[in-house]
Amino acid sequence: MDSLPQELLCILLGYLQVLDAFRVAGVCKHLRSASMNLVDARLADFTSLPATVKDRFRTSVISPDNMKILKRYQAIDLSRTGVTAEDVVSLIRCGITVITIHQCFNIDQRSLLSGLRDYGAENPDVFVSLHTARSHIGMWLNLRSDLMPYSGNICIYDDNTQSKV
Amino acid sequence: MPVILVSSDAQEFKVDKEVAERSILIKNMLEDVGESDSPIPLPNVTAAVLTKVIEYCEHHRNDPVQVPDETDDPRKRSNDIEEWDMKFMQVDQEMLFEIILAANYLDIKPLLDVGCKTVANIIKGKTPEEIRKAFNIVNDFTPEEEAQIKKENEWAEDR
Repeated sequence: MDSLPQELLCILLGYLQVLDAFRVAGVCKHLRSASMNLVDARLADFTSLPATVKDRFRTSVISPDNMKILKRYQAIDLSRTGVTAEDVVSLIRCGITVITIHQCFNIDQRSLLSGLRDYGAENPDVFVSLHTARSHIGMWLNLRSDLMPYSGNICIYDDNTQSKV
Repeated sequence: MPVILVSSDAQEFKVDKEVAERSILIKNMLEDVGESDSPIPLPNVTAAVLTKVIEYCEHHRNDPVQVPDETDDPRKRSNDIEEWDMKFMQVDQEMLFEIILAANYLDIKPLLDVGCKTVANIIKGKTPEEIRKAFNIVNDFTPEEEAQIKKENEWAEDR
């Protein structure tokens, strides 16, 4: 595999699930460099990981090199992980702006919305989309109305219907 | 109308135009030269690999052409492979990488996609050591670098 040209390797590694990409980065120097330059990596999906790994995931445990890999993905699904509001805001500040956070029970929604409001005020050109399921939308809406002025470039989507709320 | 493709080892392959045009590279070449019987040289593809590529294109000759969609939801990509494609990709590793290289050169996106998914599925769930073994890769990290990387990924181990 390390005989493939770097450009093609970057495309190939873009198909890896994010934990596999972290592991590949530990195989050899050539693959480490390629994994930090993944192309077209779509979803960093944490939902299918073992429960212990999902519980342990925090932005604070991600090394700068692994963060470089994570940032190559266009979206991240953190549903049912142990992430907090601070983790989500920190990922957004790193440039990961399409995030699914269904059933993340450690997230304090008020803190998250407050963090998003601050982020939106500082970065009016960045579009952030958060996805969650219908059952959580009501709570988000109630809290969001308390935190006006709400930044219009941050959208919460109902994951069942893909509609903006 | 058939088209003649010539592999890097000078073997000629007569294929239907619509099959050959699964390759965007060949499609563009045919459009550029217009109606012509001249064989198309493919200096980067051996006969063995071209045989496989043609087999793939023949099977998928009626598939709709993939149009890259900018609005595609990035959260939707699966590494599922159709049964026929999975069987088609049951080749040795050298051939697998040759097919990926050829798909890239010939610009056959669906074949490149299947090849990359096949490799991703081989890697799935393996430790760095198992990946090295599977692909015969030499570990060129110093022991210190390796220890540092292991430490970085400790949280992601299932224990």
